[in-house]
Amino acid sequence: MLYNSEDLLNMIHLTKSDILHLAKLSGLTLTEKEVKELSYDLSSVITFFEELKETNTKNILPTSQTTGLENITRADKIDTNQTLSLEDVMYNANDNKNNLFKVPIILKK
Amino acid sequence: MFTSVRTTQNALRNKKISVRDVVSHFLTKINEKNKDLNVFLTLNEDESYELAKKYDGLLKENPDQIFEKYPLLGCIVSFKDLFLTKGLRTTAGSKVLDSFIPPYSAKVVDKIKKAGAIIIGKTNCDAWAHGASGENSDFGPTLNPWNKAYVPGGSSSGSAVSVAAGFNHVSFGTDTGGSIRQPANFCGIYGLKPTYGSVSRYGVIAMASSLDTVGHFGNNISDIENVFKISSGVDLCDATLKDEDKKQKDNITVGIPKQYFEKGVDQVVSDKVHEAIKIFEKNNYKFKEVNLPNTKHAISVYYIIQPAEVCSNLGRYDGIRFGNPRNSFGAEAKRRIILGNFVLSSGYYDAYYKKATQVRTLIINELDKAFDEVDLLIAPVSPSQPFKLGEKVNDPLKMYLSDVLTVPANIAGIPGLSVPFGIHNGLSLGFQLMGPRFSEKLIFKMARDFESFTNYKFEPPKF
Repeated sequence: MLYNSEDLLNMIHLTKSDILHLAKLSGLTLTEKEVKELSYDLSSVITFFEELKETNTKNILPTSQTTGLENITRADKIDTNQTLSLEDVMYNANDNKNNLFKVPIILKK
Repeated sequence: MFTSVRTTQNALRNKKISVRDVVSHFLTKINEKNKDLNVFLTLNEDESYELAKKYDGLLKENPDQIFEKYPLLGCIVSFKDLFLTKGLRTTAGSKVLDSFIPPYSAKVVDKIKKAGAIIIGKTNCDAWAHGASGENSDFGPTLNPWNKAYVPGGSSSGSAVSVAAGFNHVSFGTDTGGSIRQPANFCGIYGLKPTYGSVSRYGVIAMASSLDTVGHFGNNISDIENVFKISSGVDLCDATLKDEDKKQKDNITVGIPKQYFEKGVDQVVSDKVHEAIKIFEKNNYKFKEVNLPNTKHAISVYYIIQPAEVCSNLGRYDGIRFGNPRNSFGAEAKRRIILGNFVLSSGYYDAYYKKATQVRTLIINELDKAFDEVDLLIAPVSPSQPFKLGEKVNDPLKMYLSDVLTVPANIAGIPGLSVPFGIHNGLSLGFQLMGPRFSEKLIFKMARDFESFTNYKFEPPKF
């Protein structure tokens, strides 16, 4: 079950630009050092995943949940025990004005 | 008197102690020793004493019926810092939420409080429940009370140690890939990962939604049974919940999955499980070898599906409505977010994510088939005894591989219980029992039998 270092010889490489692209998708900014470390660490993890290729999954349905339940809904009514006051909602916000969340600018003139 | 909920409740009934004495016993110990082990991130002292006063009043008024209304009266509990507690700081072990005060409580927190339990504090954990050692906490690692040079396991590290160290009766944790069973095993106590969909996760910070479960730590099986009974059930807030109970039976046949004892599992660990099997056999339990060849794929399946769900769940932390900006995420969270986005990204989705969800089906089918032949399974929990602090922290793959024997239960949504059994080189050993979905009662029966076969008594570590 354990991997051995020989596998690392056939390692799949996530390049620096792969990592930067993924960081962008993830909304993360990374330092040079983090990019280097992630590229090495994740390459070895992804190489380990290669072992899945040996399984035959032809005609096997994917599983996304294990309960077998479908469409569990509650009545479409407001439950006042489940609602929060405006004060509670704003309490943890770092920056707000007139009970509105202040967000960073994403569009430039 | 303070060891189990039952002994504490008996002492309360016989007026030997007050609820205030119980609270004060635990808080004194925590205030004296917490700094040695780094278990609690936030204490709830004022409310604990207020509630003690309330319950002492009620006990005086109506000592006979009070325990019917409050079945957990006198029970002191803590919650992993992943459970929202109204008005009480909740951090998920991460600097992102270092000053977050939840405006509401998790359903299970409310349920336990309503049953009379007193929440004494919030426990340390690997940030966002990512880890198997506790070392990923942004608030420093929790230490193993059996030997402080070793990890207590993770990610529910503080919860496991809180029970082992005698800081409270019971603690609540979460188990997404072994985060209750493995630290329970490393700390010499019981840890239950219930069936997926039996305990509400509403108000619990989500890690990987198709795998996350809420469960319990205790130092005896009856406490675990009681809190599980009170915390489980449908609430219409978590849509995955189901009320179901598998039939009880007397003659239990137990499967020994041979793949759980193969290369990579330390001899001392597997020998101890076989020693337990012998004790069961002497007492008329029947065992049968079962074959689960897809177990070896569980780590890959888990470390594809789990980060995929993690990157989606951690997407909400934008530092705007609450919490700090995304650059406050620690190394492991960043690693999992990036890995999750990789396995989901166009061009890789079929090869990784889709493939993993298909192999997940194979693992589930194989377990279902095994449960046609046997009622429960017995296996080791972790391939090794606790490892040293720092030993695996720089090698993520090595750390991930320590989850190999616990992730299958999460992949299949089945329950698993970590049972403590013996000490070797000053560190704890044990085994896990797994069963089909909603077979908790059968698992409890087998564990209760083991307590009586071995005359089990919790022996706390000296630290």
